[in-house]
Amino acid sequence: MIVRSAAYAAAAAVCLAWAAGAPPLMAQARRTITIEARSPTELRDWDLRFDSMRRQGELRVRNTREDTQIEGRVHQRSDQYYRGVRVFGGDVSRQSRTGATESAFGTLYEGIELDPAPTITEERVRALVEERAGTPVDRSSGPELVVLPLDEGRYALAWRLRVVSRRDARQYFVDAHTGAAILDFSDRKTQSAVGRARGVLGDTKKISVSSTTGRFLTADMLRPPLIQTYDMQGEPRRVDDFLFGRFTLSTTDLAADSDNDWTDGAVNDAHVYAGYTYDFYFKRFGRRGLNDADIRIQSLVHPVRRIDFFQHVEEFPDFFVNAFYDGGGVMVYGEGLPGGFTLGGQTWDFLAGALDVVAHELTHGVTEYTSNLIYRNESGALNESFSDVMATSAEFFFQPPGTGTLQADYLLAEDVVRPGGLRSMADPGAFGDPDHYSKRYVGTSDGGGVHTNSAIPNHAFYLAIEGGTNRTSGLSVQGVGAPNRDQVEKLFYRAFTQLLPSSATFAVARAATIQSARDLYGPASPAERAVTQAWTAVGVH
Amino acid sequence: MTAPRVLQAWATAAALTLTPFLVLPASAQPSPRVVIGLSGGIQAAATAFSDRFDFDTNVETASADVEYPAASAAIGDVSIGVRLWKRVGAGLSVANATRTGSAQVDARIPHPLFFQQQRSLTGSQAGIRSSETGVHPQLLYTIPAATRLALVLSAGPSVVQLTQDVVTEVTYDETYPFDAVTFRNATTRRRKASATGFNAGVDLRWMFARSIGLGALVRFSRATVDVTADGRTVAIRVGGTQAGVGVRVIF
Repeated sequence: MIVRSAAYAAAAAVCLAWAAGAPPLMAQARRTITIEARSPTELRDWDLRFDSMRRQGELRVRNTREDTQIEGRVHQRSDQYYRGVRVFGGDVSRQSRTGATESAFGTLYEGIELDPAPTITEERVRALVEERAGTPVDRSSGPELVVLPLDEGRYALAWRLRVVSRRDARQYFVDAHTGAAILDFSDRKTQSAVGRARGVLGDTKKISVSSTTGRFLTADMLRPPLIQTYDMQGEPRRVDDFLFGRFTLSTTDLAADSDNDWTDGAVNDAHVYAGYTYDFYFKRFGRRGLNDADIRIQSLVHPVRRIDFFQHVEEFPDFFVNAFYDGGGVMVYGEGLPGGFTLGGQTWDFLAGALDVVAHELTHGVTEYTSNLIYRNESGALNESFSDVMATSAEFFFQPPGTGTLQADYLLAEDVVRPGGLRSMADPGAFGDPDHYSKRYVGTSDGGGVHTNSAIPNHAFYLAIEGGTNRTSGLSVQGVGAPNRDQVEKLFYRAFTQLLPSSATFAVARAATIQSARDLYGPASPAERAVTQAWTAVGVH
Repeated sequence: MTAPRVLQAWATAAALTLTPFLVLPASAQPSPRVVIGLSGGIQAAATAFSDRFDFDTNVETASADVEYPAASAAIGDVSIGVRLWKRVGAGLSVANATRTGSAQVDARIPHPLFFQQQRSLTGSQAGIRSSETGVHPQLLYTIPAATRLALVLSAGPSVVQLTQDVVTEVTYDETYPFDAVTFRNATTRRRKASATGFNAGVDLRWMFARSIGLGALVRFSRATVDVTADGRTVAIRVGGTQAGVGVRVIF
């Protein structure tokens, strides 16, 4: 009988091994105990068991922490040991109140029978792992000897070594007796990647993305919030369905690239500039994103295709010559116009290609989570103005001052709506916008002229920094000067995010910015003087 | 101390030591056939060396300069000498010098979010081990001084094998907004290489018994070892002035 013979042979091998002083090479029967103790009876039983294990050195306290949410509670974590060797994954968390156990959760392993003395040296393990990982191993952190519960239901004495490189962080387990590789896995929580991206204007910039097997996706894993950019691939119905909550975008909708050398300018700029805007708010004001709590930022690009202009003409202008903030951290960027088409005598490139456009839209998100200025009449114009103010500020933060593309100035969207852009903060009249309160639009279209009357506080912002004379009033302003522009940016930010009510008027904005200047820089400071003179110059009292 | 100055100092010391022996009668000396020596001592600070390597990160090139400062080392020396003709003999000496020190790392790491924004990093990595084993075939010339005293001059080529920890990677910590990095540690690789050089020395031997005595050794050796790590080569000057004392057994 072959089976019986084999069993005898195995038994003989075990006896031989014992005779030679080596551990028996038998498969141990593994038993995994999952602890979910909450009832008094269960807890009493487990407390007794834990105490017994501690006395025998089978359970060792790893750490004890005070509960930061409920006073008087203490949490203790303990690791399971077998003959002085930690059992990987065997641990218990115990919650107590004035010494009495409230709950216990954990996993313990039974049926461990192995020789805890390794025959493979630490140095040999490092060499084996170096060979397997193809990267040097940090010699300052030695391997840890563990008992490893194996998937097939037995245990192995293993050396555990974590290897960190720029690309990955992996845990390697090497059989401590044979040197065989038992297990390895990546424990890097996020697989961030930095790629190279070409923008709409042909400029090259870094792009923060995520990597999966063989692909890179526009999900920024470096910045605190998740910043995702979706390529809608010219399907406006899908955009509508998403905006109206009829379906949810998934990972497969993210823009993807195979070599991390990104060439879709619209995707790239929407993604990168969303990150820049987050950076600007963080570095200038210490703000963490739109809601100051790192809400996710989602950008949708290519809602239509330019070549489908006539096919999707009903989507004009929103998906072609507009960019908008849809609330909840969602932006949509228009595709621009096909070559040879102009609007208002201007060509329209991908709207995401301008930093100030992206920062403008995202600032609507900041307003949404702060003053929530009502989007009509003067409060609506202030809403628009704050987006322009922050957009221009972001531009000056990242770009050198100048008049060409990718340079900071007081024009809005000038990099993608050419020539000239859409608005001017320095000279609103150049675009037919009012530079003085007396010239404000008083009609009802465009929400009461929110995109027109925004030019008045915009111009005040400009004058407060650069100084100059208002053409309508003839009043001069002594600005703080470009080197001190951050003062005016900060006082506007403070006023618009913390002081203004949702139905603020221009007069309230004036008072709030002056108050901010006093708060930040003191009464009679150059900043207070500048902002006061600026509002007066544009006719807001 | 630079190598020429070490040589000069060594030559001066040797000359001063040798002078009295050169005027003593040779007939006073025993003529052992074989001398075995076992010495322990110190090797003066080895020559400092530096390394520089680049690596790609954040789609740019980072660079790291590593300084390995000079440090003295404990040595062990085993030698055997055989008299061939009159005062002339041949010998072989094997010496090992091992030291553990630190390496100073200065690196420039590109920003992950912006081009052309290098972040500086400085740190020190301890536990850098360097071990050099020199095999020194020697021509010996014995100068008897007194009944129990002799001076043995030696010189010859050297083959030195160097085992050196070389920094190959720098790991660092960074958090958003990533405008600064802090040194965490440096990953090292242990590399071996060998080179030929020369050695010259003097051993003062005093026999307090018929076959056993004491010796004081001073030797200078020099070789330049090219150590290869991650595809680059670092030229490391090894050896230096070694001084030690130990027992001498003659047959």
